[in-house]
Amino acid sequence: MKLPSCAAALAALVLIPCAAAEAHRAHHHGTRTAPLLWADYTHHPAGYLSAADRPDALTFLPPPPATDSPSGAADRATYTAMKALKGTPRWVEATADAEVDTPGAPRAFTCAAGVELDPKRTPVTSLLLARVMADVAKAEDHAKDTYARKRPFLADDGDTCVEKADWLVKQGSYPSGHAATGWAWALILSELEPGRTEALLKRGVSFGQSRVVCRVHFASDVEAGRLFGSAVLARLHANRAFLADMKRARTELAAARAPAGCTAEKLAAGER
Amino acid sequence: MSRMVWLCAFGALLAAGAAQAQTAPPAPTTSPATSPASAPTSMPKLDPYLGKDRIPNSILILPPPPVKGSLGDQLDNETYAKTRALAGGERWALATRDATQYVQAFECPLGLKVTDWPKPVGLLLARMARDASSITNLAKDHFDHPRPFIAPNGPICTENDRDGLMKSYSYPSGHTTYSWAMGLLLAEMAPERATEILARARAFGESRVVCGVHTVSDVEEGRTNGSVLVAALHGDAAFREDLLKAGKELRAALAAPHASPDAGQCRIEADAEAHTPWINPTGTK
Repeated sequence: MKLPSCAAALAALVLIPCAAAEAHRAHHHGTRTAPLLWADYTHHPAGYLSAADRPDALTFLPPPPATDSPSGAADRATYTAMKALKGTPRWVEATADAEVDTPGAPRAFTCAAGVELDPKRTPVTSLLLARVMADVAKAEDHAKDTYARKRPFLADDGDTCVEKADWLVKQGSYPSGHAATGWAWALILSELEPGRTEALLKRGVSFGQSRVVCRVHFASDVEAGRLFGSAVLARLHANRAFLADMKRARTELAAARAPAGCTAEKLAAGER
Repeated sequence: MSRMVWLCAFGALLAAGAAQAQTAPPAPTTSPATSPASAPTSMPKLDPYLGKDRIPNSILILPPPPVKGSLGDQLDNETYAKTRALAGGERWALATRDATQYVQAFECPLGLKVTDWPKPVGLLLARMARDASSITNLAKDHFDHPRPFIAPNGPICTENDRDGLMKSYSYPSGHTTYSWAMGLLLAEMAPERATEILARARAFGESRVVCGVHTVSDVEEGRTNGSVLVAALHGDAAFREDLLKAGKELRAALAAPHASPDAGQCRIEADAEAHTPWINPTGTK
């Protein structure tokens, strides 16, 4: 789960060093926001969990199905079936869902959340979700590297919804980090917005499924990714910094949802 | 996990785990020794945290079960057929145990016998079980998916429950919903043991496939359902407060001197966690 090139292009639009973008932001929002935007994976904010804190997916996940097992055959057949979706709106959505490590990536959940998830409008939530993505990315390495499952498209050089970047080719397929991140984001957002649970979690499932549609992951990678995402989140719930940020994010989202003029401070103080 | 009968003793509730998948749950088969020592003598009124009004509608979230004849359906059927060969073995016996002993499943990964679990932990899990029941029944009744053993009529690990199981649907697995939710919550309360707890929670779901009463897809989406439930519970301030309190007491109990769970049982469970019968029967990871 490294920065895809299309995401890099999108991220470039909001880069801090870009004077034009800075001026644009200042013009539209009046104040300078804290420098929470980042350019690429190298500068991505770190996660909450230390190495010792991360649950070991190699132990608690089942291994990926063997190629010649019934599950392996089902995985392969699903991959083949997805070819028919090429060029459809679902394929286009899968391409958009490939963006996961830019500051704006959580916008994939904006409609489901009923709040515009944007690094400038909801900086606390945006940074929290980015840090969770980093925790998932770190925690998955051991399992991905050990299983070293080959990506589905490597067998037949089949079409994928994104460019076959070097990291994508080299990284193990199992479990899916995108699916884990998307599911963890959906779970977190529904904790923060209990009234939107169904829409958020439905989007969470579909965000992961986008990796199958994109033909960069097997269905079992995505299934395991969901399991893995919920497990990382369980561990995060025992992390003080994460819990403190969840509290702040809850207030931030309540304010972002509220009509103009209802600031977070007013809401917290119970003022009109 | 439908039409749960709310058992008349707290200890029995814990022992039975309150997540009976059957229409008419059998009497708890666990011995009184497995009841927590701290169990109150009178039955507290155990309300769900969310209740039917606030439980997420998982019909809108879960993918539908595999259509008859589809790839997923074929995989479910093949796995059911192949795992019948496990009847009578050690993994089968664990599946039978897991069918009725829910909280006990987490004794080994926690390293703490249920009799030493602080009361707030058991209470929280028992109240959560009521919500697990609601969220599962809603989806089961909607998806209307038959049990795997109905068509081929093969052996199941809980033959005495066959008639009861026939009266409820298969998708998603209620035992798995409850056990994955329990695993996530215990991992949160005892983070040092998170990996072990989650491995056990995963194998507990697999026991339903081994038993022959659920398909692979029932179990996979049972886990999804369990994490949906936990997210919804985390959206409830009263639950969050209970969870913090229970976690604190559980960590204190783990830090205090205590007896170890049965080593033989723990070995059997560790072996099951290392071997998913339809994925890596020989245990290679």
